[in-house]
Amino acid sequence: MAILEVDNLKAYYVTQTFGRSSTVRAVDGVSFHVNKNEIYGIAGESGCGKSTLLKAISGLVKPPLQILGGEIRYNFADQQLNILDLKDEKQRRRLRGARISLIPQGSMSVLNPVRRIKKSFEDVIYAHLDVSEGEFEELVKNHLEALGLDWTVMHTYPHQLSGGMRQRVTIALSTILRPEIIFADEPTTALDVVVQRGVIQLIKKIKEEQQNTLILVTHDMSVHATLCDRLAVMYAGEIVEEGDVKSLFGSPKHPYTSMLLSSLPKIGDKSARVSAPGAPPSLANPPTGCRFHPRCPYAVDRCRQETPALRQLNETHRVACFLQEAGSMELQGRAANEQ
Amino acid sequence: MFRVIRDLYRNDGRFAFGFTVLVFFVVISFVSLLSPYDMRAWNAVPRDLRPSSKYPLGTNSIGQDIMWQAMVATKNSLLLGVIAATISRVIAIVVGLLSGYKGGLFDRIVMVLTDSFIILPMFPILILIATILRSSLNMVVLGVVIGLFGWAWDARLFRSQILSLKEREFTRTAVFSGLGTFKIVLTEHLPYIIPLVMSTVINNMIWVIGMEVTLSQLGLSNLNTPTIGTMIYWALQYQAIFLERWNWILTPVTICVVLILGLYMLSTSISEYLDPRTRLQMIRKG
Amino acid sequence: MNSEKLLVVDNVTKVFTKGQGFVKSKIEAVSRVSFALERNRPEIFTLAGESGSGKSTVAKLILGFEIPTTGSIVYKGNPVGGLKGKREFIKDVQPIFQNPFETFNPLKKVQSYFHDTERNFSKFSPGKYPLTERALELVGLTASEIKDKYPSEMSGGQLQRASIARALITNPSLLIADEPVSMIDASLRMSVVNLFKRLKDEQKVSIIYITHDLATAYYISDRIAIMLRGQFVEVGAVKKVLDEPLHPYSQLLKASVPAPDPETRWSEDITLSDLETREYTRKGCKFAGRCPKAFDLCREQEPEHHAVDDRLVKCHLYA
Repeated sequence: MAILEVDNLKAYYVTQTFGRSSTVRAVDGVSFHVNKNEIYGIAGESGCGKSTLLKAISGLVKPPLQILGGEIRYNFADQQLNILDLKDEKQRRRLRGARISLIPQGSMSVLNPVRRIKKSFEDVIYAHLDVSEGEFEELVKNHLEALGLDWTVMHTYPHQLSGGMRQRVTIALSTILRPEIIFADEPTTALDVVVQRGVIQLIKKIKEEQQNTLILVTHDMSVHATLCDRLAVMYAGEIVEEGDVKSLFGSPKHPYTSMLLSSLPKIGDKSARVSAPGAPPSLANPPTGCRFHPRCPYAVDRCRQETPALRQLNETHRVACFLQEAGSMELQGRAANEQ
Repeated sequence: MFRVIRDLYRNDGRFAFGFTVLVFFVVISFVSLLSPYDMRAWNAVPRDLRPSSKYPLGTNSIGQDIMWQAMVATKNSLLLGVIAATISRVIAIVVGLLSGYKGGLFDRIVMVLTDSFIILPMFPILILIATILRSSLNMVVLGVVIGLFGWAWDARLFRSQILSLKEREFTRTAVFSGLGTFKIVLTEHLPYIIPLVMSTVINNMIWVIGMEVTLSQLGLSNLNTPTIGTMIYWALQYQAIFLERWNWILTPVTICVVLILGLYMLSTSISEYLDPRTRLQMIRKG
Repeated sequence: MNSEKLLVVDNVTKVFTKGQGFVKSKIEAVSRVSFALERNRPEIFTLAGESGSGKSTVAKLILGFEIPTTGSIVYKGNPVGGLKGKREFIKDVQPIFQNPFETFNPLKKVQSYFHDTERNFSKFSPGKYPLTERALELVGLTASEIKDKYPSEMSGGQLQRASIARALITNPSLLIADEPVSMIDASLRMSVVNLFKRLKDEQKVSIIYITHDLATAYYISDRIAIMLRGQFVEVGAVKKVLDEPLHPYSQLLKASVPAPDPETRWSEDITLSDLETREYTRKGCKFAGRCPKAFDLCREQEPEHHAVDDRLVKCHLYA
């Protein structure tokens, strides 16, 4: 059952400073769905629009970001709603925290640096639930314990904690109300590798315990490989490939995905790797036709003129590429690089 | 440069207003040089005349043409503002930059000095100095004196900006590109300092003009030279409000208010435009 | 003997004091670190570790931005002092910083740094910048990609390559690269990392590569030093250290690197340290708090470097 359906979403940044205006087409016609209880990943390089996509579907749309078209439908157990219909900030706020929750990039922006951690928890809980002091303590204690955190952390200020610890506290804060959907925006970027592992474990633990749906946005393919069930790869504002993580890594269908995967180094493998040539295009001025064609080694004339639609290749796999429509093309995946 | 001004003029109402006001008053200042009267003379024209075609703003109780008086007054006040602001900027930049770069003991001593100037009660001291120098007080001297008091706060501002710029990575890159300290200050750091200087210049001018008006009310200026302050002084001395001689009292007051308002708008608009963050946004749009 | 060495870092310690007056705390950011690079044998030497391990401080010490509290750093026979003059040093040793958008002044055109470097370090005729062109070619950038551009008009990958090109203009023998690819997208990292490999192989440049990314370190390094809280805990050839790590911390690091492969996922959980300062000021071995193999001696006494299997391991297990 799909808990979230996104239909042809278009979200642009329209800005005007001192007489110069520009339109950045950050999300340009994106459609996908997320099933209940799964971990769905959105991958892509910086500037591909994935953070904007996350903002749009979690309802954090403020100028200069505008939604120019499409639908976002949430199918909760007791109600269905289109988040774009919620014009009232109050309604959105009630949705956030209780039903959906966002783990942002950079934990400091969530925690108030001049208040102790406990206050941040109080703010969130008392805004949504009507509980007594004792019930509050019990709720928080149980939650922290389940996550392997200590109650003493409540009495500290954010700057007293290490970066990894802050991130974990932020995750605890974002999940204390047992949201049905958790959005995570680069939760492990800028973290050390050991701390990253701890954070990934924590996210997994929460998901297992609370049985929520997780939508994870990051450019780090290794994190996707470790956590996700299904994965969508974004390029220049569009989804170019989507599928279950094993087949996507094992036999990618889009040249971009293949390029992404083959450029990743791995310990134990000193064989030469090649990185993707060129750079992602500007979203204010994307190339004609298929946006990847300037960098694609398999590009043909049609790719320059027409934009391929995201088509269902088999039950689980979708891809936007003309060459795959003709017949399944063999591309290098992770498995091909094993020694 | 002109494209910049045109851009700002079209898109920012504040700049349009402030720039127009400033240009207007500068033009007036130049026109004032054509004044047919000696501004110090009394009874050059019949007194207390209402505005007419011969005397567009009328005349005042001491026999002077109000319109020409106002023009010369504007010129003098602006001149004063420019002199004082320039002097204090120069001192502030030199002190702030030197102190920021040298650091150590030099920095500590200079900062103590600066702080003394900040907390000194400027007003009583200015009164003291003005009283002592009263006989030789012309616009230039007054400008210098006021300028010598207006630098301390901004010196600290520049110094703290330098301190943070020293730590930025591009300073290190410049070092490894072989640039000497002086060149680094000039090419790397000045673009960040200039916007600060610009916005403080105009703010300083506003402060100086206001200060002059205040000093004049206490009679601590060269009362024979027309400035906005002295005009108000004489008007009040001759009971212009009581006698409802509005053309005399309202002229300098209006000039003062409009000028300061215009300068303020200009200052905020320019400093927002020059703010490195806005400039970055604009570079990106291209 | 010393003139045979390119760089000798000898028992260097750097202590920072925080606070003033009565409330002072000392942090040993770098603690008794020693290593050396050969003159005629270019290599890529990696300093790996988490944040707070002291690796960036080592870079600053080598570049001369900080002065060692004890110990010495000698480059080509001359000591590296405070950053005063030392034109020869600047010509021969160049830095590459982590954030390319901070490396260049956002209000200046990128090419100005190139031109300045060329002007300051070579005989030059106005208008012609041959060394700049050569450097750009080496990193795979065309002149038009940087011509008249400001940093914000270029992508992170391009800008970082420009930063490397600028460092190459003076034809240095040693590059200090501090997390050069961590701000670049994973897919673009390879081009920069491959570039480092080429620089070492073809241009004979030695590189000190500082990173927390073990995968790229494995890919290009010859030797690696794993750092924890200012100390080298394991130093040796990269294949040895990362294929079969001996120090428990190295083992933890390696095990924590997520593989870009859904078939391999972690089986057990780990515990994380809470407050960083606790580990810095701990008596004995800095890792004792988290180490699964710690015993009493570890908490009492700091271990020595023991030579095991062609590497140095700072651990009581190998005494």
